[in-house]
Amino acid sequence: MPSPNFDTRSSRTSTLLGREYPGTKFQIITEEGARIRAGEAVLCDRRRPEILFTSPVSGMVSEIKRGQRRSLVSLKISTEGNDQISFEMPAKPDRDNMRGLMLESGLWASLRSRPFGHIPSPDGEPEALLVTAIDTQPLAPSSAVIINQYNQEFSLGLQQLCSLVDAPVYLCQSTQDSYNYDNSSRAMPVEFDKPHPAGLVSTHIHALGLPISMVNEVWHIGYQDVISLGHLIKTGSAWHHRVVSLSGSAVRESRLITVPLGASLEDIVAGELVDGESRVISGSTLSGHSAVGYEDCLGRLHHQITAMLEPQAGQPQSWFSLLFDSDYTGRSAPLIATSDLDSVAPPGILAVPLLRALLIGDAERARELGALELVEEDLALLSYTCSSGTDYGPLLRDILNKILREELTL
Amino acid sequence: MTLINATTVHIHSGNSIGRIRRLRLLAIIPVLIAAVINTGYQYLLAVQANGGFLAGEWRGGLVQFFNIDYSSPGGASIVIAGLVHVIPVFAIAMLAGGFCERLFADNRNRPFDKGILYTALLFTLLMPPGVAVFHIIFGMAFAIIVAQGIFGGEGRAFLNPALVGVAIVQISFPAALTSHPLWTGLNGYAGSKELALYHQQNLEGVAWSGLDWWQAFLGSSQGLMGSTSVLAVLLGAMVLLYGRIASWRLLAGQLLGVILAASVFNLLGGGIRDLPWYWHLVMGSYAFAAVFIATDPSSSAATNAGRWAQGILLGILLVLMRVLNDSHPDSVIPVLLLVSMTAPLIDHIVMWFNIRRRELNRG
Repeated sequence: MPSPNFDTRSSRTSTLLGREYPGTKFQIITEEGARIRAGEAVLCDRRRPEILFTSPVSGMVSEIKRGQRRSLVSLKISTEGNDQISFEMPAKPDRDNMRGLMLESGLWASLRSRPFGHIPSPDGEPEALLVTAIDTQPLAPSSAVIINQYNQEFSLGLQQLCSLVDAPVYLCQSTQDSYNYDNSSRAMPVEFDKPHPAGLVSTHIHALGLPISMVNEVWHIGYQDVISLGHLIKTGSAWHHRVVSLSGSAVRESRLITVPLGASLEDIVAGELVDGESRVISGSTLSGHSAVGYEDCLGRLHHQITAMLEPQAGQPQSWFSLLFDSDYTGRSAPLIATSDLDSVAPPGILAVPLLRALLIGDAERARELGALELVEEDLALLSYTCSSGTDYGPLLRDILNKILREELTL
Repeated sequence: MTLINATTVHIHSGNSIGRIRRLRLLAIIPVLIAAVINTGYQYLLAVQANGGFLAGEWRGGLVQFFNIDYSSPGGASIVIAGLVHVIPVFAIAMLAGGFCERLFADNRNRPFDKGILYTALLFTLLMPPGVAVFHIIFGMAFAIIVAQGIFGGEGRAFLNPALVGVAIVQISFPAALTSHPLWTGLNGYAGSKELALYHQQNLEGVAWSGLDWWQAFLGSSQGLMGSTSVLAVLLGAMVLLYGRIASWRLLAGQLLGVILAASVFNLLGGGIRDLPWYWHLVMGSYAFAAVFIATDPSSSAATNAGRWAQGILLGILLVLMRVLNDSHPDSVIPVLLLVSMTAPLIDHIVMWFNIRRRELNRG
């Protein structure tokens, strides 16, 4: 697909990270050294084998890394050649055919559901499907610029999404951008005003008054995955690229670039950074991951690459600091319940009571206070603001897993 | 292999307990300055009225040691007389509190809470100028052990430690605290002169003694060391609000509560019921406690709705207790104890509404 406005950068490898799909147990249907084409399935969900995960590039499976209890940590593919699988379009774009096509092409895995942020069940039916066409993370690209560039694909993808579910489809946009695409589908545009967390799914769920519980699910999908779906309908193969912003204090020239899915960030940022030690992050500074070691790849749901200069460490402590600062290394500093926590909390959530429930691991209270509406990224601003310095994202995931386990044993 | 968290927040706002301690200290500095100046000034005035220093009083001895002429108090002598009152109380409070905190920190194997600097300052500023050494040690030790140490340290207690320390001293030694021969205005209770006069002779009595509202606002009268100057307290409030440590909702709620309750009592009329709301704000140690103790995030409600509710409750209870209970003319400390203890209950009710809204939405 042509992308005249954005630089295209290539990468020698493409990596798929297991932990980007919480709740999924992978079955590996390829092996190290196998040759694969772009669009070919390499993994599937062990419990729901119809959910496939496809390779975004053609090449060779170079490394499969396993973690605890044989879970998949990462699967790395070395890029080689340009072979692509084409999918046959269904004769009638109805619900079952569309779901079949998305499963087959690996695009189903770009859907997420609340609660838990898992991949939704292929025969499930949500309360609503949200298309997230707004991104308010720090230094995130403007969704309107990218959607306008690929407006045909976006419109087409939107149309097909509407046939996927009987529930209402909401298109969450930003008030400040002007979108230029043809919306002839039944998707209902809803507008949200900045700042962050206006672009997060939990904000949209709250504003639309959608119920979330163990039986009421809401599905959501990012705008670039809608473009990918439109591309699949149009050409027979999914769009295996992402337009991302390259920005941050360590970047020479901030701009939008087109990169392959799962691309190695080391390759992408080569020659783009200023001198000095820097940290390259896939995603935003609030909820991305450091691109080091086996995690050196663009995250599946990320629309940005941030590179920050590392702060100079090793400053001697001043006497002023000795007078006031406590060293809480190895233990948690107290959570001081100041009111700025409430001002950055996801809407409808009581920040301090929820954080306290997370800190003591009280799954029942956390659930009552709306933990099911949230995933890790929703708590990033609270972790950023809280005086205790605790990262609440992993605590929330622990609680969500606990709730799920309890629910399964009932 | 490097271990990396599932998701990581790569930046932090810089908000930490150290930052909160710094800002709190900055906020309390104007009050500290006002305390030194006013206490020194009032002391020299009292000595002047007495016609000489009291025999056998160590503070008088110290002031005499600096060769201060009480008949015409100037700038330097006022400051020295003030420091003679403020520094020993603070130093003893720091020593007593620091010792207890050290014991706790070592035994519990946790960092030493440097916030006791602020606790000791709050405690000092809520003491009457003539407080005895033993009372300081007793109050501060009680504060650090019972109201902070056993709960796991700073930021984890449910009552402000300084508040508990002051309360235990006021409850245990009411007479000793309030019957110092030089501090006549404090007769009967530990509050401020305006309130004492008002109880005896209504607003006319206050006016007759030469005190007007502006004087009470600026803090030129006898009272607890730090609580007389509302102006200095307001400067501190601005720092706390700017630093987002105090909640504006809690302060606005209190103002609302005081205006509401005082207006109702004004309608009923008679005696102290006539006291208008703007006098309530500047009398006694209310302003100081409202800004520095009631807004302590650890001991106040932790939800926005709860902060409004707690503020309004505090304002109403304060006026109610001042007007209806003769034995507590100032009544700030008992009301604060009571209201701080309601914080978990208020939060619980707010949570109940939140949970119920979620349930109703689910159908």
